[in-house]
Amino acid sequence: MRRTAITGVGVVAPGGVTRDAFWAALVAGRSATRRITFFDPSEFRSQIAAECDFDPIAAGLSELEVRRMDRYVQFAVAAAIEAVADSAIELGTEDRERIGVALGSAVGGTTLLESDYVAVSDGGRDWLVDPDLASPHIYQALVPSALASEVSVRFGAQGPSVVVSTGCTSGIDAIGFGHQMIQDGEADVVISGASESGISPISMACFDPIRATSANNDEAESASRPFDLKRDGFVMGEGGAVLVLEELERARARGAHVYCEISGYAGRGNAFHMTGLKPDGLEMSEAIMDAMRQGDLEPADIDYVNAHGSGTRQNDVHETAAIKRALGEHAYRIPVSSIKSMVGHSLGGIGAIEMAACALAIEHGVAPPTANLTHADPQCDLDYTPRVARRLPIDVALSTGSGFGGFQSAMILARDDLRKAA
Amino acid sequence: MTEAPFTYDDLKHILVERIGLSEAEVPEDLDITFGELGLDSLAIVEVQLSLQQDYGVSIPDEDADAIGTLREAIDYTNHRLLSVEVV
Amino acid sequence: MMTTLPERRRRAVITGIGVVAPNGIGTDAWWSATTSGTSGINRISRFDPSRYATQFAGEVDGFDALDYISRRLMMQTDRWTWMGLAAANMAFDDAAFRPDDYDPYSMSVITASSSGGNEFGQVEIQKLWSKGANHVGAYQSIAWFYAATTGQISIQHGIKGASGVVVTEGAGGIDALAHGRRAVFRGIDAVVSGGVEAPIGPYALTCQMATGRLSSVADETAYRPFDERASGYVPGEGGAILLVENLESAIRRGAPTIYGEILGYGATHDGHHPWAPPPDASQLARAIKLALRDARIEPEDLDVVFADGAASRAWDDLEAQALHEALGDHAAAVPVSVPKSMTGRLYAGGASLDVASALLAMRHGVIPPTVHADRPIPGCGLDIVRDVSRSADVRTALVLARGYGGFNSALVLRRISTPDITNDAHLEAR
Repeated sequence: MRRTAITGVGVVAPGGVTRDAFWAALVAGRSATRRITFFDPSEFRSQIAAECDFDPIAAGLSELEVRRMDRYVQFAVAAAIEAVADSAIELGTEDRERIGVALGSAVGGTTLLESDYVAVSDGGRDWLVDPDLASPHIYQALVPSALASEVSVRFGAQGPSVVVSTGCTSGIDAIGFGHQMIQDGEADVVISGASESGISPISMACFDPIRATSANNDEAESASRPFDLKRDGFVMGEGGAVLVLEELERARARGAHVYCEISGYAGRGNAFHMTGLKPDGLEMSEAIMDAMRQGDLEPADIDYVNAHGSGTRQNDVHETAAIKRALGEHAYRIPVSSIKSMVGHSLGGIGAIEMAACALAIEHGVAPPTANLTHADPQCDLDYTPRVARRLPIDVALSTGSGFGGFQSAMILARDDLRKAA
Repeated sequence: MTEAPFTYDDLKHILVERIGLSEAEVPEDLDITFGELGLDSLAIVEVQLSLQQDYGVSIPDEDADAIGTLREAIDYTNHRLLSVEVV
Repeated sequence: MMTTLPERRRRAVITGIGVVAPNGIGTDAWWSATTSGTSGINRISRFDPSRYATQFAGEVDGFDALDYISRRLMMQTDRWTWMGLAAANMAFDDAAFRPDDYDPYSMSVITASSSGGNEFGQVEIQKLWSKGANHVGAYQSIAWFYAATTGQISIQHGIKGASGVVVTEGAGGIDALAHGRRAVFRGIDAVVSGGVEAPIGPYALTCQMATGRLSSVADETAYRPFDERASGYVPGEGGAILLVENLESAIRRGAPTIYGEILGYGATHDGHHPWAPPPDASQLARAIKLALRDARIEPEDLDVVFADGAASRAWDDLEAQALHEALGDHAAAVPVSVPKSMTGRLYAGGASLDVASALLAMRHGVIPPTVHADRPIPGCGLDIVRDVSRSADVRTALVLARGYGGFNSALVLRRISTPDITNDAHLEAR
């Protein structure tokens, strides 16, 4: 059975637009949420977000690429450049036909789609819009497959290439898709991850009425407070991360640095409601247990849980129940944390950013904290690693994700030298 | 008696046009909750948005949670509309 | 329900088909129109297209969502999701499969998506910019995004297995079915798969026209693949939802129809340019070869090819080259058809509908035609089935699809006949 190693990590995140800067910010427990600067947020209920101070040219993109690529595609290309460099894969000698791409995004080119709409509709006045005013690359904003094709093109990768768009679990699910490509022998290397750049008026406007986002505008830096008694919703974020997935034996054969392997990946649907969650966390716990079974793991093997932890009142209760149901008493003995407390919730992108955090947590033996966690909620009684990162050996990390549409996903990363002899 | 600017028929119109209920599904009994009519959390938000968007009555979070029945929605809306100063 | 490691002893077969298409709502109506060469491409009527260069498209006239879903659900979803829910219901009926009868974790929903709930989104963005942020509705957060149709299908039918959404533009229908097959290999017994699209609105059309690939011919002949007069394609709405089951479970429950098996799959990317055609057809050819190898068949085993049919010269030439490169001598002998010439390109629905065409061709022994393509491009060297259907014993079909940006996907389907089912040989490891 082919196994999937992670040999490269690249990140573009709020507070840290490179892998090292991202990790440093996480370890320092530093929050990157602030009042929105990309547009005037005054008319919105939630006026805060975690924005990336991103310079695409500094990240290695060309002027031409910057002009034609949507911001979320730029994030992915930048993270992919960093991840591929990190993996030390020699693209020049690789069989490009065995390199695949699996990337996720929930809302794709929504920002460009909206800004162009303003132009062609004369500020929203005309339903029969004027095509002459559309930007030349507007089609790529309508259909998010450009995320994968731009990365395939950038690296000359000719293996299977896909975009996975399962809402807020897109990040985990895209990496899970890449993992299955390797398991099934369709590719030997997969450039896999996710990206989102949805800090735009329509995105803020759509979460306002359902009160999913925090309205704590006066305390922007501490507004994202997962598991805290006073939490009032998630803080919108943007960003992306890419992992280089590689078949384990060939990674070892070339002397690659292996962060860890993907021990298991599973998904479930709650088949309940497009946005609502039941407090029992049943389907998420099923996904967790399935992921554990794939790697022959027991609850006691899990050293750290990177939670979805969006900071909505319902999610944090749902997820706490799911973790307890899947891990039993062991859930109380290990650190759990949500990095959305620091980098916000970048919808389809965050799942990959969280997987990157897990790989780095294993690598460095540090569990990032849940920032802004100061008031205990009796309904959330696990150890959420409040405010301060914690040093401990992490051999196995579990990451969970939950999203609109009822999607529940779980992925487990494990040090590759742990596997019991086959 | 002050004429109520927002009526049962107005609320019925919202339920039919924005939520998709049929005319027959809207009960005469005003103390039925929206939940009992089968409206989920999103649909209830949509009703409140209609009040905001079509009648100019913006509903702060704490008031929103207190509007559970048809009667409460009608009374709240009228209370807000009638308390606006006429210049 | 455990996700097992991929197990090739499990086999993915299609037991139900639901179609919403510009030339027919419902599989029977669509197949009847398709085999008689009846096109659904007409002047756009849902809005006034006069100011647009492309004025023709494949609209699904007379589609009434209320025939399939409640008015309440209609208010919360885009036309794209209405069609998806409708086609899913049809596929369940066709398969005599009631999700309530099965373990929720034994089923998944994996569909392709391309432009998502774009019209719903356009309405909401319009309200935001013309009236203000507080005029956006509560349903925007669930109606527009690309996962909305998969999500709603899973909720409406109580489906809890690992579900997914694949976006590879025109190749999506094949890629979603292939991912459904991966799920079956990993222990899922039934997958609702395929895809639909609803891209006919002023803004969506504007976005599509920006590629320069749409035809501005103002009649039904606007989309004529492999023809020397080809000037691009027109979009269409609709597609197909297919029920994919593990063969053993389908037999055990007494599925009334087993159309065929997903026998092989291959996918590649040109890795060349974000939109320009590649210098050669090698990656499209390789997708075909990978599918044949996965299916363990030779080119000569193919009885029909349903081609991608871009209807622009450079792309049609490349596809012809790919077929010659991958199938050798057999490329000139095997019948090739592009029935989407009667519907327009349906993006997430396109390859899905082509798979339905392939399965029905197998079932009925009829290959539907390509219409308005009677002046073949010189040097094409393919046997294009033109204008009228052709009788043929179709046992094995190849379906090809390309996605904007360089995606190439190929699927091999094989008819399942009764001896295959009753014979235990199918349980041997492949």
